[in-house]
Amino acid sequence: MNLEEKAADKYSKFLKRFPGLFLILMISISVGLASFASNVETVEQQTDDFLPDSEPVIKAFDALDAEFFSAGGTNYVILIEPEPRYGNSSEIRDVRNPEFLRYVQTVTAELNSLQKVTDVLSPSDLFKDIPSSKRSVQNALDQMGESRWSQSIAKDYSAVKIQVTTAGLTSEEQSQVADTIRNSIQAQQMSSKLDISYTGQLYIDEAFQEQSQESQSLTGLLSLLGVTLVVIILFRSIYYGLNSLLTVVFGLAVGFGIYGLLGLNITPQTSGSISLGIGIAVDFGIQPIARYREERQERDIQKSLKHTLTSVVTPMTVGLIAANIGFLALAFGKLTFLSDLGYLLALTTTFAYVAALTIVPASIVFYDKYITDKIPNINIKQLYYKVTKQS
Amino acid sequence: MINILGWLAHLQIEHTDKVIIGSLLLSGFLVAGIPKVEIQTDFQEGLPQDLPPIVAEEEVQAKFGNTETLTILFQTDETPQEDGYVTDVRDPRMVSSMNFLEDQLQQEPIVESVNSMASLFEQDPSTKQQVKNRLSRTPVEYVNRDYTSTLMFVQLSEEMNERNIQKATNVIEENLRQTPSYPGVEQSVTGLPAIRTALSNVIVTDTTKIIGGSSALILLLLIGARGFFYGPATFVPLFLGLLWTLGTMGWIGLPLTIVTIALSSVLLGLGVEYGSFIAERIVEESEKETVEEAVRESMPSTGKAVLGSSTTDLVGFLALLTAPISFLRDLGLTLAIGESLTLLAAIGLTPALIIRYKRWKR
Repeated sequence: MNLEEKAADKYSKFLKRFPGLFLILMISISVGLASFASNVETVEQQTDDFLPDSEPVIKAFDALDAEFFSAGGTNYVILIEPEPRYGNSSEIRDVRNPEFLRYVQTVTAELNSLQKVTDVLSPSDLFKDIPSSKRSVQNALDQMGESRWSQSIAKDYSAVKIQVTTAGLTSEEQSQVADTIRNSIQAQQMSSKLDISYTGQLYIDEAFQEQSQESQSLTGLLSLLGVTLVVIILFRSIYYGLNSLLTVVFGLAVGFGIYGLLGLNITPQTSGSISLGIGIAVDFGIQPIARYREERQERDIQKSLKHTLTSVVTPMTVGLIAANIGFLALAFGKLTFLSDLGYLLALTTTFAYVAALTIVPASIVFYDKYITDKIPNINIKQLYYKVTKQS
Repeated sequence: MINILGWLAHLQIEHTDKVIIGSLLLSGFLVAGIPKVEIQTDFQEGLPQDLPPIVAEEEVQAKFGNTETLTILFQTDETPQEDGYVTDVRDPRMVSSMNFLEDQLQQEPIVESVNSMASLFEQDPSTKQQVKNRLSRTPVEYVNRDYTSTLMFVQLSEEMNERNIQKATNVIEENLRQTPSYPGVEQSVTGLPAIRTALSNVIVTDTTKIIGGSSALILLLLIGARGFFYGPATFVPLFLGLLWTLGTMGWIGLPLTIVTIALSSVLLGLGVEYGSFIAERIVEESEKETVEEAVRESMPSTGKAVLGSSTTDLVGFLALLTAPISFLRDLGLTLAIGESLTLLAAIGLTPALIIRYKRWKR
C-alpha cells in the first residue's frame, strides 16, 4: 500500500465511523466563514478604473481630472424639452420662449447653489437678462452666432441642455449629487408640460449597476435551478443529485465569505461570476459520487470510499491546480477587475474541491450507513414508474 | 448516451489516425477565424438601449452633436531645468506650437474640429502679456490654476468606435511628433475615448499573456503529474479546444470584450479536468488490459461523468443568456461554445492520442 492508499484507508475508516460528527464540524466551519460574505458589495466602476493608475493614458486622465474640472470632472447632463399636450394651446413649444428661458435660469441658479457642484453650463449663461419676447431672443442668438449657442440650445429649438460638473468626488458623493440634481429640478414648477431627462456617464453607470444586480440574481437563480435538474437527471436520484450540489453551496458560501473577509467587492463586470461559480463548483461534486456509486456495486462502504478517494484525488487535484493557474493568471493582466474575478473563482473552486473530499463523502456515507436501509433511495425512474402505474 | 460514447470509443479504436487528422484539419479551419475576432470596449453598447439615460444620451447626441472628444494634455514643469525651458503654458512659444498642431490636425480627414487656447489667436502672440489678456476674456477653462497645463480638444468627423479612435490617436501622435516642441513640455493624448483605445490594446496583450502563461504552467503541471507523454496528451486537446473557441468567435462574429477576456482562463481551468479524468481512467484500465479494451471500458463510464460535469457548466453559462446586459450574454454564449469545444477535444482526441502512442510503443 503506498502513502496515498494508506491515507485514503485511514480517512475512509474515520468517515465510516463518524460521518455525522464530521458533517456537523464541517458545516459549523462553513457557516462561520460564510457569514463574512455579507461584507461583499457591488461597487460601481468607471471606464478609467479598468486600467491601473500607472498607465500613461490614466496618468494623463488623472492630471486632467485634478487640474481641469470642466474637462476631467464628472458631467451630469440634463435635457429639457417642451412637451405640449394639446394642438392649439398656448403651451410652450419652443425653447426661445422667454418664460421657458426664465425657468431654465431659475433651475441653473438652483443647480449653481448646490454643494459640491463646481460648474454649470446652461443656455441662460448666453443672456445677461432674458429678453422679453421670442423675437428678441432670436435676435440675440443671431448676434452671438450659432457656434456659441448650439452647445446648449438644439438647432431646431426643440430642447436645451444643461451640463453640471463636479470634480474630485467619490463614487458615493457623485451618486448623491446625481440625486440632488434630480430632486432640485423636480422641485421647480412650470406651467407648461416639460420632458426632463438625465444622462451623462454617471447616470449611465448607475443604470448599468442596477441592470447588473438584476442580472446577478436572475442568472444565479436560473443557473442553480438548471444545475439541480441536470444532476438529478444525471444520477437518476434526488439524494445523490442534491448531494453533488453540496460543493456549490460550500464552495460559493465559503469562497464568498473569504472574499468578503479579504475586503474585496464585486463590480458590474464580475456580476456573472455566481453563475460561473455554480457551474465550476458542481464539477467537483459529480466525480466522487459517480465513482462511489460505481464502486458500491462491488464493495462495502469503507472500501468503496477508499477506492473512490484514491481514484479521484489525483485528477481532481491536477484539475484544481490547473484551474487555479488559469484563474490566478487573470491577476497578472493589467485589467484591474479581472484579478478580483480570478481570486473569486479560485476561492470558489478551491472550497468546492475541499467540500468534494470532505462534506460530500461524509454525506454519502452517512446516507448509506443510516438511511439507505430505512428509506430506500428515491430513484426517479422507479418513482416515475410507480406514479404512472398508479394512475 | 452510453451508446454514443461506446460508438465514439469504437471510432477512436478503429479509425485512430483519421480522428487525429480530422482534428488537425478542423483546427486549421477554425484557427483561420482568430484574426477576425473583434474587440469591443464600449460598455454603453452592452446595455439595453431603452434605458432612460441611454435614450437621453442618444437624443443629446442627435440634437447637440457628439460631445466625446480626444484631449491632448500639455504639461510643463514649474521649476526650470535650464534656460529656454517652458515653465508657463502662457508662453507665446506654446501658443505658436499649438497653432501649428491645430492647423496640421484640421487637414486630417478624420478630424472634424480642433479647439484650444491657440484657437483664440488669429496671429501668434509675441508676449506672455498678450496671451494673458486674451485668456482673461474667455470663459472657457483652457489653462489650469497654476498655468502648468493646457488642453486641446479634438472632435472626430467619424463615429467614435474603437477603429476610428485608434486611427485618430495615431494621427494625433504622428502630428505631435512633427510639431515643433520646446524643452519642458510633455504631451499626452487622453480622455475617455483614448482610455478605450488603451483598453482595447490591453485586452489583446492580456489575452496573449494569460493564454501563454497559464498554458505553459498547466503543461508543466500535467507533465509533472503524468509524465512526458500523458501530460501533453491531456494538454494538446485542451489547447486545441481553446484555439477552436477563439476561431469560432471570429467566424460567427462574437466580440472579445473586457468581460470575455476571462474566457481563456476559465476554459483552460475547466477543460483540463475532462482530459485529466479520461486519461487517468484509460491509464488505470490499461494496466490490466490492452489499450483498446481500456478505451472501450473507460469511455462509457468516465465519459458519462465528464459529460455530466460539462452539462452542469453549460447550464451555468447558458443562464447568462437571460442577462439584460449584452456583455454578459456574450460571455455566457462564448463560454458555452468554448466548453462544448474543449469537451469535444477532450473526449474525441485524448483517447485517440493515447491509442496511437501505445500502438507505436508496441
